[in-house]
Amino acid sequence: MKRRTFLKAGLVASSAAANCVRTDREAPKGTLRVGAGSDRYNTAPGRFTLTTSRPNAHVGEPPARPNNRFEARPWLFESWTHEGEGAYVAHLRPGVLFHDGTAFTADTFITSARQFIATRDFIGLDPASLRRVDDGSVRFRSKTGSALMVDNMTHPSACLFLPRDQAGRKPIGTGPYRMVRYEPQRVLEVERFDGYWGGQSKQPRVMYRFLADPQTRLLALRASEVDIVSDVVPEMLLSIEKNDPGVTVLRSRPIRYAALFCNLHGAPPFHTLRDLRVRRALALAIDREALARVMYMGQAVPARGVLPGWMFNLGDEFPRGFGMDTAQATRLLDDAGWTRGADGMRARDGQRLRLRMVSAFPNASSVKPMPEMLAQMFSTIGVATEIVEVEDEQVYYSAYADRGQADLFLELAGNANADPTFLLYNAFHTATPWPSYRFHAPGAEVDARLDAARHGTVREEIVAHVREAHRLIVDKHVAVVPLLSVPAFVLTRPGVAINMFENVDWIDFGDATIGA
Amino acid sequence: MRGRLGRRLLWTLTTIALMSMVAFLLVAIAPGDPVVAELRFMGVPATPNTVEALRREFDLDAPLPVRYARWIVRLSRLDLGESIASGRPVAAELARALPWTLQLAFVSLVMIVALSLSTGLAAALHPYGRLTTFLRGLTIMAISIPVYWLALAAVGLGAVVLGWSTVVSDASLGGLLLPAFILSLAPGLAIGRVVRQRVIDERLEDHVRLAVALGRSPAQILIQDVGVVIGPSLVTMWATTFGYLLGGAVVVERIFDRPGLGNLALHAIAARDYPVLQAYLLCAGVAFVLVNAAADLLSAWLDPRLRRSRVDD
Repeated sequence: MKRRTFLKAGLVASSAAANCVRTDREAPKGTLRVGAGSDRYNTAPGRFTLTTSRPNAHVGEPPARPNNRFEARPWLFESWTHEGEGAYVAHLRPGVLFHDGTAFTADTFITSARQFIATRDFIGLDPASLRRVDDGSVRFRSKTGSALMVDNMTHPSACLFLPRDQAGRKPIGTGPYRMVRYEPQRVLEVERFDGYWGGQSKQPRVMYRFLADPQTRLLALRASEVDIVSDVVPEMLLSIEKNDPGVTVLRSRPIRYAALFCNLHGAPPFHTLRDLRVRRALALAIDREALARVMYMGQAVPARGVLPGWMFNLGDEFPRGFGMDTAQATRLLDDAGWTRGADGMRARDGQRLRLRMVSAFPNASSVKPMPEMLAQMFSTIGVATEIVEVEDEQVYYSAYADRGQADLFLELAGNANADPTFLLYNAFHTATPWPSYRFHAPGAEVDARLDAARHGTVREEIVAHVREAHRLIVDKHVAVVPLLSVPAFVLTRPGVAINMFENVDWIDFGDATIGA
Repeated sequence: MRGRLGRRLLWTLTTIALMSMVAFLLVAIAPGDPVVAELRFMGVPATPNTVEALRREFDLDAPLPVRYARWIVRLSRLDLGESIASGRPVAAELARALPWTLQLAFVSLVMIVALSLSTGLAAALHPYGRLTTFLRGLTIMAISIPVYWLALAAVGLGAVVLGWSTVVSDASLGGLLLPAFILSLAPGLAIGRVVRQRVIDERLEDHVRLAVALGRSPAQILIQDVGVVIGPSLVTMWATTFGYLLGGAVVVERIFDRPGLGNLALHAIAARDYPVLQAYLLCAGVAFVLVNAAADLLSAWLDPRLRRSRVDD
């Protein structure tokens, strides 16, 4: 081959590569631009989440949505009745249209629900039970006899679409926006649906840009390349100064918890926390006010439990949580036989009181510098701490949490489900489907409460059981040591206002107003 | 030459076969479960029924050797499977990401060649001058500074402070320059150091001194006497760097939000998306091996000594 030919071939290859990459169109004028995290939409049948989670682009809608107490409120279901033993009758909202003009009726609900709700195992809808009562009403049944099935339908993955369009390219829902284009890992663009039953959204078009790196999302906001950042991780807050003129930090009521999950059933050497006195001593040694001042731009508050009092109308009475009382913590450890040595650290039968703390779920960066602060606080009562930092969620679970390979597990998480039993059952019941959480289950007493809640038929009764289970888990068994209650955050550029909500999935960014 | 080609081909095929095994095993033995990861991401409890059904669907319930054999059989039919995290065919995921990476890799390669030649020759012409000292310092800095920080600083300065570029890079040449520059800086300057040293060494060789005595111009000497000798080894270095770039510049693609192979791999690692990861590792490895094989052949074609031995073959 002649050299000139070789060079020509190289040029042709380069231009071919350049042509293969579609040039991103400029966002049309009047388009609201939202910086989202990485694109994790799934288009596979049974796991379909395109446009729903996350971000939720409000293309599809679920039968019910959470209200501001996280109770299910009517949405595509105008009303529903639990007739007992998991049997339901629901009345569909009249006047609802899919984006192609198809009416939302009992028949379209049934075909859609079979594909999009019955495939979500956690909802427990029996697909064979779906029956048309009349054009606007349906009957269905829970596989487990649950009275909380509609509450579980508030999950974004229960959004309904026309089944024939679920192949993944352009889902057709009933929401205020319809999908215009989707480029995986790049962009999702939606436009206002004029036939929406719930009135017109303020923004005619919304463009979601998938920006995987948190700092890139923040820089894009500062450079006015996006108007809103919907996916805010705690690391981003460290880069924002108070009264930053380029960024407005919006926060919800506290919803997430930062907490230490105790290993109640660990095999040696991770069996120290089987002793309730040691767990209680740790809980009493923590200065939560100090943590709240340092962490999350000072926006978090000391926590008393893992569920906030406003959620489900739980109230603020229980659990009581823990104040800081190092004198009592010291007494508890003395009672447990852990005595201080010459270096101030405790030991028993020649073995030092040294705990392994794994930091953290979802990653170590999200809780920095909490582990170091906690270790310092524990050292004041003579407890040594080995901090293991894990950035990868999968390693956190598979190497440590699933196998109980630590004494304490630091987590920043929260309940986003309208089913009041969801978090406590999955995190503290011995029959939890999440294997790592079996190490935190206190046992029969809590199981009985949570089972009673799951089998309850009246919501107030269910919530009462959850309230008591929460108290037992935190106050009595100290299966978890609450640290902070943390709000959800959204970042906007100055002049952009949105209706904040605790579950970011349900914030309708299309209702944002943009000032001058 | 035919013998050289045959040996090279055999070696390449063996390497690719071994790589397929390594790619499969590395992913399979890594901690984490893709099915549980996906369910966790969806925010739904991983009930045994769901987990079992998904494991069966993605062929994760069979013993490792069986899975590997099935993977190879599917691979022979060019079926790379389906992504667990996105539900799309893996081949489509790779095809979507590849042009972004190719584009960035080509432009970066051009910059690397330009940077290495310009800085290397400039330093060679003034081996003990201020420029050389400056370039040495710059090279050390470029190599020492983490690319993540450099990229963020460049974006912050270029897009937020000066407004010369955008944070979110698009497919236009303008959107490509900054990421390509960040990517090419360290390797370009490092290879420039090699160029400098090779030119200085070559200037002392007899054939160059003879060319000087014959009164040939410095440009002629540089191209015809020095360039011909050092060219093949530089081609190998550029090709090796290009091979790495084809694997996807993970950090730069992430910071500049380019949905190329590096970004795809990063997503796949976080989600433990086995089919995507295995296909990615295999493709990146194959690209590296092929580019190196091409570089070897190109070097042989460029080097007059090897050309002569080619005749002997």
